Amino acid sequence: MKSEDSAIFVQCHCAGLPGTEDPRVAKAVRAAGKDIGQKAALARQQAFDARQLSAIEQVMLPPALLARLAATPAPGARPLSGKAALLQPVVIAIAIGAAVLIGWAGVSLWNRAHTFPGKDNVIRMVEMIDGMNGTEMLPKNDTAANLKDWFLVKYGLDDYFVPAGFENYQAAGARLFKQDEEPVAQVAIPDHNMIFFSFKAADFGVTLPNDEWHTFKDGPWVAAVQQHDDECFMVTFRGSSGDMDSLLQGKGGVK
Amino acid sequence: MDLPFSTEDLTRLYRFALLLTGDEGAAQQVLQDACVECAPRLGSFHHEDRQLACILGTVRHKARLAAATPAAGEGRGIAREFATLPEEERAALAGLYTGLLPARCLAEALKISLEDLGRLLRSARARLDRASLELGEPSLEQAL
Repeated sequence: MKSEDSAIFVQCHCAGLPGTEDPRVAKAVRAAGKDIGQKAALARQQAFDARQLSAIEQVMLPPALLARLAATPAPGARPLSGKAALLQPVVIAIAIGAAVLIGWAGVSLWNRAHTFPGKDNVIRMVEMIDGMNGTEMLPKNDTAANLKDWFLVKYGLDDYFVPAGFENYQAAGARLFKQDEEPVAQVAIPDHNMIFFSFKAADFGVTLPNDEWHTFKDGPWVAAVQQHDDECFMVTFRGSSGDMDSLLQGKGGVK
Repeated sequence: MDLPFSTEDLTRLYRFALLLTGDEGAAQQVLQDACVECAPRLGSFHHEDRQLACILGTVRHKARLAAATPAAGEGRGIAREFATLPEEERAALAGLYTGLLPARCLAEALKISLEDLGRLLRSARARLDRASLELGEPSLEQAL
């Protein structure tokens, strides 16, 4: 150990106190004891420390403080900072529970807002499309509105209904099929690959506010249903609710 | 309050607080506050040295907050002389003289190296020696 280092570490020594427990300090003290110059300095340091310690050791713990410490109730957990409090497991669990409840409530409200009497029957019409191969329909080359006469003449259907904005779409095919023994008119529209449906609301238990669109998703399909007096019209295609909203906005149908 | 310290340890902590603050009332308050703050954490330390280092550091921190540097020449006895030391030197020498911790642990509690502790102690002893002469203390024992 260099003399300068030894002189530094010797300063950490205080006779009778734990300072010498560090090996470097103890080694420095031993080295100082063998060096004439350092030995004298160490002796002065020890005498100085002894005077200081003698004074300091006169200071005693006030009994009143000891009594206060004993009487002070054990403190609880440390107050947590805002961030630490938010990361507590209990808080996280509550937050997750609240998020689930909010999500569940949101889904319930959404479902309530997008459901209506007879919706299950309407959904079956949409799902039936997946089972079609294109040969079921009779080829037609006329506008959707003009097919009213064709449905009346060919099938005796006098409830065919196409709302404003959809009359002029060009049809490629049409047919009438029965669902639960009730007639449903179906028209294929090449534009947007849309399918129109027209049926009597009472036949399928559908009850909707007059001339108000109700949109719903079913698998890859998105559909919008509207009731006008006793007739219902539904348009469906493969797409998103946003696609349907865009289509209906173009028809002035979405609020 | 259930503290894992003996009365002897508490006495040494009180001496440390007194040498830092220079005032008996402030020292009592600082030590009590430090105990209240450290008590919930002390159980997490497995070694007594760590517990003592924790409360030593807290006492020092609270002594800094409790008051500015105690005025030299005010107060009584040894605390008056310690008041002449810069805070770092005062904390180092007070920590050494209270004998709570081995030098290495004291250095860690003060967040300095053992070498820096040695330098601070050398400077503190020299300054305290000069202060004793300037304050005209006939002896430290009498100063108390």
